[in-house]
Amino acid sequence: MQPQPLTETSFFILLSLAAEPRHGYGIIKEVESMSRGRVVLATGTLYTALRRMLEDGWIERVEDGDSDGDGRERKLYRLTEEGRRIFTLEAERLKTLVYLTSLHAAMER
Amino acid sequence: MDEPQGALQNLTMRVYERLLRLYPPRFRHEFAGEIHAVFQERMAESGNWTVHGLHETAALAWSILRERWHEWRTRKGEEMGVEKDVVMGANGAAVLRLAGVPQRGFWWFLGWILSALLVVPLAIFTTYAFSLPFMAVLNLGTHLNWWPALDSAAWLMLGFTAGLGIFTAWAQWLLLRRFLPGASRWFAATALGFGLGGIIAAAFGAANILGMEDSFARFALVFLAIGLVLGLLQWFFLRRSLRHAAWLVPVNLLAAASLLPIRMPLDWTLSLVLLPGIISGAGIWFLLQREAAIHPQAAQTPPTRQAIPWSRRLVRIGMILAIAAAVFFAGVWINASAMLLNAKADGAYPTLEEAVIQHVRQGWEESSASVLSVSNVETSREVVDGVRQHVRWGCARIQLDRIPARHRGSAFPICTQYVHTRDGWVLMGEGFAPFVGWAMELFNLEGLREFQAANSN
Repeated sequence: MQPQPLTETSFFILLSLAAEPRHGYGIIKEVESMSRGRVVLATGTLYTALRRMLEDGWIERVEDGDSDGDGRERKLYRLTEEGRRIFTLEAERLKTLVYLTSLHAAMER
Repeated sequence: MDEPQGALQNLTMRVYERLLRLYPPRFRHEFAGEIHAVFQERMAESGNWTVHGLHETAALAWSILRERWHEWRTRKGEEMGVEKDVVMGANGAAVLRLAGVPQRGFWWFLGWILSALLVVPLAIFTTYAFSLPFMAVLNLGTHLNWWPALDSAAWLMLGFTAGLGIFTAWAQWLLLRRFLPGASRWFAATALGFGLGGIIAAAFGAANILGMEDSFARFALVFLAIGLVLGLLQWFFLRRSLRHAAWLVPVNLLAAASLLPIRMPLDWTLSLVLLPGIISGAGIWFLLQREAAIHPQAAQTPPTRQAIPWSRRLVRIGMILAIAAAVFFAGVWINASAMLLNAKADGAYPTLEEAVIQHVRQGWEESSASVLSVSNVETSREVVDGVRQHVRWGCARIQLDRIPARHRGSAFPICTQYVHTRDGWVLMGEGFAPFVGWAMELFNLEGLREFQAANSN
């Protein structure tokens, strides 16, 4: 079944995790960097999205072995097979849209 | 870092930490520590605390609302888990949940019968409130010349059946949800069945066949139409959940037909509504037993509800009571206002004596007998408690030109109830005057305070 198109926030979070697992802070920084500062995720927004993705089985949480300032174990988030499939489908959808748009622009010239 | 900036940081941090506690416990336990740590890292690198702090705090508040909403829906789903048709089987596979049988059968059956009894006065009491949308549609149709002007009995009947359907469906859903897969479909079928049955009954003029005096028989005829539609809809909605759901058609017809032989005024025979309750309860009980005989494992292990903490139960009960009180008083106001409007449209008179004479004459004009004289008009007796000056009996002795049906002679006394409005004294239906009089006091309708003040001087 074809999933619904992702929100920009969800897509950027999956994109940031596509290369490697990251901490929450790492995801925020990566998204900010990839979008050239256009998408600035607030912490609360990020974790609501992460909770939903965990429930949907798109990502999983793993122990890092490293600890934060308060001595707590830091958690890494990484894509599951399902998450990667969803991300790939969305990327393909976007590629098709870009291709069609460029085709349309070329025909108008 | 200057002092104001430091104070702002401390304030933002404190607010943020306090807000974190507002997350639902499950989410807080899982993520609050991480969120706090990430927020600290974000703020540590931020050059503009005011902007970033506000952005983070606003986003956190929104996130809390979303998580609260998510938690509420999840909990609702868990509590109503027994309602879902699909459950996990012994081998871990999802299987269709089977119908079970109430283990405390006597109490369940008693609850079913009591609910059948209680929903009728509830429906009667809210008839005007439920009638309003029908009244609007019917009046619009008349205005557009789609159909002729309809008697108020038509929309009152529709309002009554709509209320009866919703209250019955709700009460039965409460009793069935633990045992019947797809009990929500039962709710839909029952509410829809009553609604459609009422529309069909009104459309065929069933409401006027027997006349106003046979009010209970009129109600019963409507019930027969409802019984048929209800049975068909319940079968249709539940044919996959209950193997013998087709039996619901004759069960509902029988329940409705049990009202037909009764020909007494509605007020006296309200308790006889028990009969359809017993028949329908026995019918669904029989079907659940049959289903359990086919699947004995379902009957042995009926699904159980998750325990709900008492604090949440009390909050829930409080909310239900508050909503019920609001609906009750809104219903009282709507009912009384609508009844007063209708009564005034039928005629308002400056004195009670004049009102009695006019209503007696008008009332008998429509019958085969004609009024020859009205005498001994007496209006001194007050209704019920004798303290409401705006609610009164009006009596007169009338002489007719012939002996009407169900009467022994052509001369006899007649007493009716009246209430005082701004336009004058109006006739109020038998038995309704004390209720409307009370509502007038409660909401100061029709300038009652002025009337009382004028009469006390």
